[in-house]
Amino acid sequence: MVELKSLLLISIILLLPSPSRAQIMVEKEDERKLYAESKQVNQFFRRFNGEEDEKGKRYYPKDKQYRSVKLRKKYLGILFDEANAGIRNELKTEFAKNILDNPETAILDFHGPNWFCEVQTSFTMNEKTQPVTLYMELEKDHLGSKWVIQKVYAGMFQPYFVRDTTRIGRFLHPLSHELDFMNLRKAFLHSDSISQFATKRFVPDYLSVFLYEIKKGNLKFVSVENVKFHFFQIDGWYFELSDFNRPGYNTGWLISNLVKLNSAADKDVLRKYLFNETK
Amino acid sequence: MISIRNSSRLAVWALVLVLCITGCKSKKKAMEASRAAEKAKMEQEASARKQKEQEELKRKEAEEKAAREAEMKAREMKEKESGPKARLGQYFDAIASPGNVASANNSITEALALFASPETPVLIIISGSGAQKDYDRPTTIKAYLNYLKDQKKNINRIESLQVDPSGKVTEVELRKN
Amino acid sequence: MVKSTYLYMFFFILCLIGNLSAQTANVSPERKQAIDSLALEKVRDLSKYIGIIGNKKTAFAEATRVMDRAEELFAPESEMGVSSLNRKDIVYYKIRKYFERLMALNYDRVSIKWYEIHYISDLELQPDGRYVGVVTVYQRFEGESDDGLKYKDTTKKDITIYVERKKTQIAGRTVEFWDVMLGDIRVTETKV
Repeated sequence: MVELKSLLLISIILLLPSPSRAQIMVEKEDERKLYAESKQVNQFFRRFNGEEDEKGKRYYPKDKQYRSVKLRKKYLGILFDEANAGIRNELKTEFAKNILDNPETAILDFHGPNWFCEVQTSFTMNEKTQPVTLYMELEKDHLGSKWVIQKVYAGMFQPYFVRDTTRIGRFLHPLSHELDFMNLRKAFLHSDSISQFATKRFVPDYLSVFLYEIKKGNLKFVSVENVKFHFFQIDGWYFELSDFNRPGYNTGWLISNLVKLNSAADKDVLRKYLFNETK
Repeated sequence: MISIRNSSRLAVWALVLVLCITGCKSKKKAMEASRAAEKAKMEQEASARKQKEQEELKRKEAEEKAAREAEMKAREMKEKESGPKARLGQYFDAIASPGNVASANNSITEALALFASPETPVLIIISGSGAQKDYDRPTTIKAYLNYLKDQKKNINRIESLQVDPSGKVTEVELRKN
Repeated sequence: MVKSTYLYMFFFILCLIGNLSAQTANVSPERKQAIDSLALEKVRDLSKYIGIIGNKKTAFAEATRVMDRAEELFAPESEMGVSSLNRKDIVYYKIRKYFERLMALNYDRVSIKWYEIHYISDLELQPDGRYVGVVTVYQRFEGESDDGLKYKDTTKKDITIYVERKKTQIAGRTVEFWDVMLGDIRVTETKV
């Protein structure tokens, strides 16, 4: 009898055209979407490694589900940017299989090497807005760790270091020393060509220039535009992690690029590409 | 109760045994067996009755004891209710309950009268016990009462109070639920 | 005046004694859970204060007092970094400024709701021995003015949490406690 009554009551409530109920429904759906979102990079790590439940509650090594293959398999299915057709399904499957076959070693380590962050920022240089890319990495320091700038890339610096090594161009002849390098005066007369007098091995260090320009007060920070991460922690693979702020369930921090690395040379080429380096 | 059930089960088993036996033994022997079984059954029933009576007595005694204890507790509670711990608990509830700001402010003023000073320290245990207690940042009673007013949540229960000779509270220890 | 002097003295003494200990004791899962829930409580407190400050019915004096209390939750120099769907670059506000803007918003009715959902990161050690974590919460804002103008948004708030083990003297004995402070907050408008 009691059951019948409550059933009746529930059906009456369900039939009532209540706007507040509709509101609650929308919120419940929103909430499900928000649960699905990889809300922090930290959550991406934990999901990838199988270290938390679907509500974000942490598992500890003593828990049965901690890093369990079953859990990791489930999460691997939702950690890719599904809108990116550039990542082939076969490649994803191969990557997932590689991880599930080596569950002990295929673990992302926050404090480990072989991953870094790329931060797109904007600065003003002499009142003109300029993009600057900061490459950041975690560094141990005293009692803990911190993010530090490992490298910088700024397009605005590039023209100053361009040099053509194929042409003979300008040079200081091999007996200049006998004349106490008196020809340096002429060499430094044309600022456009001074880099021709530097060694072939010379690689411009944008971080130094960047720090210098900030200290001189020429370069001023404006804002962060974008943040993404590059991982080389899974042996034989590279993937990129980006944040997707869009409607639906496939949102938050997701794998936005995946490359299989066949050799150490592959890895080297890719790293240089990511750092905008030519040498 | 358990022993009663056991003994009646025993009797049933005995009957089953009897039935089995009658199937293959002579009538005379069967008669003897059934008489023996009946005797055993009667004896068991008698002992079960006796046990039941004893248990009844025990239960009555326990009930009386519980009643006495409850009475004692009620008396203690009554004493507690008028004590500072209970009164403070009531103020906490009143200040945290949804109501207007003015009445909450009145309750705060009243509650503060229980304390040696508005700056009386309030400690909140977040976990642990004994020597291994983890606390939140210590606060003052005035700040804490205002916190209850703003947050409308009374999630910490009173663990202990220190009282000075004049009966004013000099320290509050709370525990996060 | 007397109140603020008292408070000031109280925290001054706390800071004085507190800085002596920045020990990096290993945090057990149980302890970590207690700290997590303490951190979450501070975030909930902030949510409530934001609700009071944003509420048009809150009297000016009361809102100012609540802003003071809310500010006490934060480490000095904390900022809000805000971006919206049509404005990608981050606008930075000091915490107090953000509260004042919230109070001054030109709506006649404001509704601020928080989703049940939250996410708490691991606690990581900083070079100075303090722990740092991030709590993510979601807020739904609705503003309406009498002339029918409506504004709605859902924002994700990533809130920095600093956790530090401190010691203080209370009635002649040493009390160790976990000091939980809020830090910078990143506010992103989200498409749900």
